[in-house]
Amino acid sequence: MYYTSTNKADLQAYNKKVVWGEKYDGVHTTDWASIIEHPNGVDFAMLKHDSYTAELTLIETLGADWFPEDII
Amino acid sequence: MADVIKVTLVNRVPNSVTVSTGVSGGGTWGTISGTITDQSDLVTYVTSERPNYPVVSPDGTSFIIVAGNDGTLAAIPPTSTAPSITTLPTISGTLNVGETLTATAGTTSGVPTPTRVLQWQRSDNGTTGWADISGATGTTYLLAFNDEDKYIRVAQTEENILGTATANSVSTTQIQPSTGLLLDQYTGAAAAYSLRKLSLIYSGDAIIVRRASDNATQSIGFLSNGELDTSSLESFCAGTDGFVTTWYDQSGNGVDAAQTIAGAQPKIVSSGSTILDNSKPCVQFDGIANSIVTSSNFIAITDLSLFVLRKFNFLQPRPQDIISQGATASSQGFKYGMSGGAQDQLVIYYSSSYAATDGTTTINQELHSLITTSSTTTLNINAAGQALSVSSGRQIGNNNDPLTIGKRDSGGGFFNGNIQELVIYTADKSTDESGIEININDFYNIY
Repeated sequence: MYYTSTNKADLQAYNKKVVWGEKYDGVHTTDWASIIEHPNGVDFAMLKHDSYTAELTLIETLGADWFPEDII
Repeated sequence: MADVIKVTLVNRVPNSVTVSTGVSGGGTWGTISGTITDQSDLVTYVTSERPNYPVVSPDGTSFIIVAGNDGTLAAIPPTSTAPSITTLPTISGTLNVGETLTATAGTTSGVPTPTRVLQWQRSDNGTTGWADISGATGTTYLLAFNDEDKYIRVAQTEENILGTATANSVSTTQIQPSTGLLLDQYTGAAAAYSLRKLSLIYSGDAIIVRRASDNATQSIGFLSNGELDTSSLESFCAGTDGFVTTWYDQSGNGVDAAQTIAGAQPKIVSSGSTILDNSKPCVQFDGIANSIVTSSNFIAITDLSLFVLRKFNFLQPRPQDIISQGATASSQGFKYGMSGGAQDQLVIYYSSSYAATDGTTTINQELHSLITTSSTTTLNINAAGQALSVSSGRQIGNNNDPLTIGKRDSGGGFFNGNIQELVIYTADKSTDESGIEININDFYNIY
């Protein structure tokens, strides 16, 4: 499951929410997930954590259009 | 036995000298006649004119004054004797790189008790050219890589105030390669990741694991038999999941692979149990977000020999990349895994892609031995040669990216499967390929 947004800051905030909640050690683990940028430059996505929700659009998987170089 | 007593000149009257002990209560014992003006003359005089000069201390103890082999005078018991080694020192142990030899000193005599020094030595032929091995002065010696094909002996030196004696052990026979661990036997790996110990020289752990219950981390090492310490792993991750934050490089090059993003860390413990493939621990990549990345770039413009023990859990979606570096035309990297057409595939990116593909990828646990040079590209799966789509070879190109394990460096292509061992040589290891495959299969029983 992924959250998507056209506002990158929404996903940065979601990452911070998980990091604070999980109390990662900041050394071996610093973040919950990376922001994935769609090649269209407009859409962004982040892996959803099972225990944390956000008021963002939730999708099941990222389609092949997110990784255009994967065709090889 | 009386202690050795140092003697110094205390009265510089010509032709007459008074000596004094350096210990409490020794006092002044008497005079020695001769042309004596300083400490050096005293030593010369005793050496030439009055060797073993007898004196009696105020408490009635008899001594002799001698010029010792350290260039000073000493008062020692009259029964003193120079060191002697009556039997040769011996060496025991297995004569393979990575094994430890033990020296047993020869029988010695001498009063005062001689001081012993052992020095391990190396020779190219076992007869001549013996050279001290730097720092090897203990009773044990760990045979290192540069001892392979050489000969070893130990020199025993005994020394007291009256002299020095030296005896050499018989030479060993020629030191053989390591019989056990892969990297000791097939040296020169650029990076090596495994859940078993690959080198006796490597003293670090296998992984750092984060447990899901509280996100604490712990480093997990090996048992004495070289296997992963799964007891410690499962104790630390009791009842929860464990994720790999660092997979240590055992090559000695320090190219550890790590992942600081929690959602991207591959799993090794599920609900308190170590994840296994064919009864051996494995690192599981989820095909969605997992990957680990090396700490630096170490593959550029080179032949490449890659040995990876992997198992796919699902063959969809495709493609899935087990390892990659750069992996875009502009970065001139490479990737290896399952292609979009479900084939085992190496792609090297130059100005145009070079793709070497094999038959259909299987889900099975398999050992893939991939070697690519400027002249040939070969792939053996479970030690059996595969027909590739190319007849020529290609070196890995120039790029500055680290190695990514578990996905395409540049984006997706997530690997949905398990890795147990990944050994990389930036060289053509064709001549060692069979031996490396045997070593891996002996441990994992793949085929």
